[in-house]
Amino acid sequence: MNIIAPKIMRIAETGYIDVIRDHINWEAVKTAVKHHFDIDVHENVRYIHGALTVCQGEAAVRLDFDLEIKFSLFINGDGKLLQITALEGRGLIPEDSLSPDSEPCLNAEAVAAASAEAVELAEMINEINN
Amino acid sequence: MRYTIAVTTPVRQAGKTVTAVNLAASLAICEKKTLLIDCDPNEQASYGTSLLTAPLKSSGFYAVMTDRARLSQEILASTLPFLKILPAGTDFSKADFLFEDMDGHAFQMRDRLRTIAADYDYIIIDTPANMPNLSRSILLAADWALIPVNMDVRFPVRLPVQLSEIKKLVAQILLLRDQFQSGLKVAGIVLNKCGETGEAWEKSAKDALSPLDDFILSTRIPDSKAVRSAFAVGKPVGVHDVMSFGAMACLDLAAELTGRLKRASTGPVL
Repeated sequence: MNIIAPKIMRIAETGYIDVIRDHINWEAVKTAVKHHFDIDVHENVRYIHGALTVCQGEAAVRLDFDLEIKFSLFINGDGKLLQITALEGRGLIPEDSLSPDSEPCLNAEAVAAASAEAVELAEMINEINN
Repeated sequence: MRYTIAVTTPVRQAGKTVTAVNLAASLAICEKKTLLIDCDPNEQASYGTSLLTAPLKSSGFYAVMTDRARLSQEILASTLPFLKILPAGTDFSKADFLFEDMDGHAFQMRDRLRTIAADYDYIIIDTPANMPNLSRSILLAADWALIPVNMDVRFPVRLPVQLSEIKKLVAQILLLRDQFQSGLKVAGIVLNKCGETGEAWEKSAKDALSPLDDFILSTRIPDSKAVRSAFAVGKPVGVHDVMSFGAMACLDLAAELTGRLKRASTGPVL
């Protein structure tokens, strides 16, 4: 059951995204791109697409751009840059698929498990190579 | 002597493409005649085109395998004089179905490669993670398998799981040797996305991997900005920033691997 015409929703979303895109602080974006990809942003940035999305549990606007690489900015309702990623298909691991809060080293159980796998793997490779 | 090396692992995002492209470029920088075959459909838009000297005109791998194009005509020059590239090309997503029938197509890729093998010192194949039939045919076409492991502490596939998946790959190699008398051997395991040495993670991972010391290459691909930014723009780090630590590591990797393969060809393997 539609309570608002889909066309109105699309126009509203597009207008919202366009306003945000037009007011991006490019100096901050340049700094973020330089920090993340070590690439200097000049004037050759092309806007590709924008969408509303969820990032890190927050409602966010995703803006995709193309310079030397295609990248996405995720901006929350306060205008804060939540995340910057290379677009999928370029082989980079999206930041949200990483586990920054995970245990920084293997625990004893994981070392034992990996070691057991490594022993078996070494035997198999030996069988192949010899 | 020519070497055909499949850069392969069933683990997605383990660094197959980073390894394949940087290894191929480093070999070419060392003036080894090298062919890079892009069989990773996720990467065809980036590495397949960014190194080319002219706009992409090749129909690519799939067209060659379906006899719609000749292999020698689809191989493209790159910005590195000693590196040529066979892009994945259009319709690549269908490639896995092509190799489903092993009776008819088991050695189709190997036979195609043999027609151009004499032109190269090294053929490097970037293998897909999610196309089992094509991967099997690549293993049958290759002499050596080079297996990357992602050492990024944040990588969601933990080390024991990566090793378990690699065991499945190695079991498949054993099976292919029995079924098809494949001569494929394991050239080594290359550690990718390595952080700074001395970190707790590095130490515990090193302990866990110690049974594989004989097979792990001593050169490690660092998780450096140069490597990341080179990959993001679709270039080997040796082309993007030749003076970087990452570029040096990739050149070292090429030197170490070629040394290993030469020794293996003249004496006991590795």
